[in-house]
Amino acid sequence: MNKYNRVTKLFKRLLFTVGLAASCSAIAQEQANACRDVSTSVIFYNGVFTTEAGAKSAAMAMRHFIGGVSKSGEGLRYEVMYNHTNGLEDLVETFAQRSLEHGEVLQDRYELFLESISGGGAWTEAIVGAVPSALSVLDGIIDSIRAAEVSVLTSLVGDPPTLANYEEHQLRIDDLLQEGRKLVYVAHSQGNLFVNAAYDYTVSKSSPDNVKVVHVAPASPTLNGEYTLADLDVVINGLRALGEVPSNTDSIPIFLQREAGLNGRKDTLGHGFIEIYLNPYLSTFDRVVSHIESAISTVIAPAAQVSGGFFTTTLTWDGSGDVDLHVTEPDGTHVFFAIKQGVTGYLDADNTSGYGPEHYYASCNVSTLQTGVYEISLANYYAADGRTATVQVSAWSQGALSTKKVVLGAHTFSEPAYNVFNIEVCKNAANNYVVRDVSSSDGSLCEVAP
Amino acid sequence: MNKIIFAGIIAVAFTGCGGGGGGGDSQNQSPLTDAEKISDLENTGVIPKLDRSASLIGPDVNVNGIRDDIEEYIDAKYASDEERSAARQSAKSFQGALSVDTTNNAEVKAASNKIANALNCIFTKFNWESADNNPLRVSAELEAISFNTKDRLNKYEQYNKALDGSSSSIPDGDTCE
Repeated sequence: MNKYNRVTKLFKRLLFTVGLAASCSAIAQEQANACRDVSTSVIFYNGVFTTEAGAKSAAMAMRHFIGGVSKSGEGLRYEVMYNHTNGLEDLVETFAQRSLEHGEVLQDRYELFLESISGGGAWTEAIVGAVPSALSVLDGIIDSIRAAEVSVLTSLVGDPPTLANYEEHQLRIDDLLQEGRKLVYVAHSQGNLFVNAAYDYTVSKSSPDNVKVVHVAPASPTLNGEYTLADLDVVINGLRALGEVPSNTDSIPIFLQREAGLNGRKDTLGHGFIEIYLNPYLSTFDRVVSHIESAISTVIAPAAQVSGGFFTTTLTWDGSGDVDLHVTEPDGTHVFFAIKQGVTGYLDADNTSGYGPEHYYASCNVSTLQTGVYEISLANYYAADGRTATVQVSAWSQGALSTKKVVLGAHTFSEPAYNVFNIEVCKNAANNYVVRDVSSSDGSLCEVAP
Repeated sequence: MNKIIFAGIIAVAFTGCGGGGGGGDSQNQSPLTDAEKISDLENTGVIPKLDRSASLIGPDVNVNGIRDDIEEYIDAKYASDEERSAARQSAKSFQGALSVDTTNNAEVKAASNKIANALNCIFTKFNWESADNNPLRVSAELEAISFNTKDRLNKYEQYNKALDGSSSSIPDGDTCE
């Protein structure tokens, strides 16, 4: 596909997205509902040395290109399962030392650091153009970054992460499966190591029909779905020299002939998600987008066991016994196993034998959604002494708000002994409902602009 | 390999310069030092002119939560009130990451949520068809200039580390303040 056709295609996508957004907005105004119907979660697992904001930007870019509604008209939600890469401090220190070379011309210009992580950008090019002696400094910095990325990925391939180390990810997957959500995982770079663990876990709890994986620049020889890999991806090629990685799928132009990604960065390393793989001017873009769209259209929903809500609370524990979830709603209504229906919410899963889950959801219906603080508590009803209980609160608007663990003492029957969360629902300045964890705050945060 | 790439960048940059900046009596002027050349780039807005003080938060004379130099950058760079407002929200949210207690999970999550809302605002207000000011470029640049000293970068690294293993949804709808 030539550049003109890609740009035309981009424009059509934009029109499609804008049109959908307008129609969704009109629908929202007619509904007394604080949430939107969603059938599929498209979840991004970020690459090496990506900031959390960068991971969210990548997910927002996917939303821009794929849209908020599937081709069959079902709502899509975009989420991020963030994995951080250790060692950035070392690279900052390398930057500090190298920037003192050649007359200290780059000294203290740390705004170039994040650009360097992406293999350089407009500011870098401007400085090198004006001061050629900066070339070797930046060259050395980018070489250090590439070496660090290969080292990190090599280490992860040798000792892959397990989902046990990423409990919030695991519990979010549990929640989404129980709510009957279809799951599409999109992984870039080191995210592929994490997505494989997430895939195995998901399949163990449901079936391969309920989850699809799209691999981008896979750092792992193990693949659980379609993949895209550029031939000039220097980071993965560095990994290839040390072990097995999949074959290349796409040829991309050399750096000097390559158009920048939409963030204005070309990435000398050929590895960036936005710079290379979601760059509308490269063939990798069409492949990645088509893989995601294909995954969305073929994934099948698991049977729903619980309802979604404006916010939800899920309790699990690590053995037999009966642990109970208690929620005190803002008006004082106490929701627990004996009174499952509250004014706002409902306890729609109650487990009495072991492991859980117990699940409470607050309604999206604004006629019953109370503003104020919801107190989330636990009780060891019976025979769960010493068990570790895990509670995750998720919000429709934000995903997982927080996850906490509690080691249970002696049983207290129906008397909750552990206050785990205080969750506040209020309206913001734009009159939209918002929710936040105020467990460690002094009183309400509602008067503070969100 | 990078040397070849950057050699190309230099060639392109010089080709694009076209001899600009020189006056009729340039032969009598002493050549600019490297520091002066970079200062020129700052003064002409090619690269940002930023506060590099030891303070994490930096100067904020009007106490609106946005570093003064970043506010100047935003006012100079973005055309519409809507774009400037979205950029300010983003700059303010990034500033929030510099003052967060990274041992307090709820506080870190709240800061992350504010950044997400601000990014979402940028993604709805800036023009995707713009080469210079599309949402991805604007958000990446605001992030880079917000964490432009060693201390600011290292604090941001602590913030990101505190979010390791977190899960979050991308906001829907209008999240502009």
